[in-house]
Amino acid sequence: MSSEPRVDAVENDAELLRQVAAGDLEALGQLYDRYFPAVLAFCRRAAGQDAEDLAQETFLTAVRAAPNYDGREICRPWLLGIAARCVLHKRRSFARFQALLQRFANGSAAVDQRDPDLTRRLEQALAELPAAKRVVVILAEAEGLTGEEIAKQLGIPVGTVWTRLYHAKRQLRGLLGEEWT
Amino acid sequence: MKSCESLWQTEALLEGRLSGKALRAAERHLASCTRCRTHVDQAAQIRQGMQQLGGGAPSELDLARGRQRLLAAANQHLRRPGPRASRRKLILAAALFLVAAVLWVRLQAKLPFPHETAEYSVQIEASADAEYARSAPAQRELVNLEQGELKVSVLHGTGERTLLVRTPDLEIEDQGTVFSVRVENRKTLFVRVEEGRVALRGAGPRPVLIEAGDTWSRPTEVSERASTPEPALKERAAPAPVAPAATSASSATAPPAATSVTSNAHPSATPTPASADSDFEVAMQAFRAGSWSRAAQLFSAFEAQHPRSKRAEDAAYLRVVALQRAGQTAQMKSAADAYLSRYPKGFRSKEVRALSASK
Repeated sequence: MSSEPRVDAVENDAELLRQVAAGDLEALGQLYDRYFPAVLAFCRRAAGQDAEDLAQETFLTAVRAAPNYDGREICRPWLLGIAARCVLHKRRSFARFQALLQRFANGSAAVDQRDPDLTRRLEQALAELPAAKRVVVILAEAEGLTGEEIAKQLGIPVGTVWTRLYHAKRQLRGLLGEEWT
Repeated sequence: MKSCESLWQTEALLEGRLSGKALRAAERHLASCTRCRTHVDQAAQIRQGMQQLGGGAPSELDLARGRQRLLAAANQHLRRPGPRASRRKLILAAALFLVAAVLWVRLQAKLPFPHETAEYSVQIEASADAEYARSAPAQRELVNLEQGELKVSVLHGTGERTLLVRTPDLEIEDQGTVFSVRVENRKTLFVRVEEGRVALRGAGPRPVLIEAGDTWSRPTEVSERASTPEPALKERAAPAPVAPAATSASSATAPPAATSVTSNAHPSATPTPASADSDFEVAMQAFRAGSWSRAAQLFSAFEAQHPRSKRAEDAAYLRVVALQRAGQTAQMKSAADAYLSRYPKGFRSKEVRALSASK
């Protein structure tokens, strides 16, 4: 089994996933090359230190789910949906652990609102969010998925997506500081 | 800064949920509302910050390692049988187990299979002079006995079917037994149960249950069948009241030729009861006639003469009962002790203990 990508790469994600469903490991390798960075980035935002394991798990899950792929040309939202479900399934102590560490270190609130680095504050604030809301807000804000796409990939109603998104953003702004509310 | 009352509209605009007139109205509002514009700018910062949280792209080496790891794991997964195959095997195993369980239950219960009929579950041995007919109305095996003797064996596990033997004057319903019945001159002479029990109807106002080892005899006809020892038994039973009882076996409805208990008037080659059987029957006659003292003596004599008879235990028990009914308490308790010492785990030990403990 070669780790080199095939010369004749498959353009269409749907065709690629059909080959993956048929047990073609080369096609799986192509899928990995194409989307692993995006999936890894999502997992880093949503789960922190378990990101690489979650990203691997996402692609293994995709192999099992490939026969049921709906045939769209771009499978990125589908993969991100799988990754989100992996994150939710894990429900690791990322948020609690980080918050606990933060409180232990600061002796105060989980988000250091005096920190000028917004990215760091944002990371802390995301860790405070419940996993269900965190995943939705990252998919919407960072990954650019529409509410309908998020609803489809997570298997929840669209109204639930908007509700979670509303509360997640409100909570994030509150954690970031008064000037954000 | 206090948020604008139309912030919801701005949020909806950012999330792409507006179109047409609502979209244009939200855009107009945004152009004129400082607070909402600030809100939009902050949203953009948050979005940018989240995107930065994703970290940089993995190195080529990390990608290659990850790729190899993934393909190795996927290869293992593809080699394993899928959940559908495992499920099929499980269903097949469950089906086989169910079939085996059903077969085992049927064998244990000896349930009849569809090809078996009631004929195979009832065995009849008929005397040479027997005249009888069998039929099988729904859920019942019917035997009409006009003449002669039948020995009927009903096998267990026949399900709902029951056996009924009809004689000209009686009806005998099997309740899971081996029994014999004899008819002469359109009269049932006796019904003898070897195993199980039968219910006898027509001999009195209520059905009579005949247990294993018991014999029901028509008093007049039985006296005709008595064997040689019987006159001796009758002579031992000297008291006047019992003599009429012995002969009362031939009283009432019996024809005149019923006074002799020894002769068996029947000329045909029918099986004659052994002496033990006839002695027992004589004792039973006295018992049924309510001659308790005589019955007790006869049962005592039976035990002495036939200690190894299969009815010896019955005789010992019935002697206890007869003495109890005769009001001879001391003798009854003595007889009960004798029964229990000889048959500590006897079929009637429980009843004997109860009788002994009474009064």
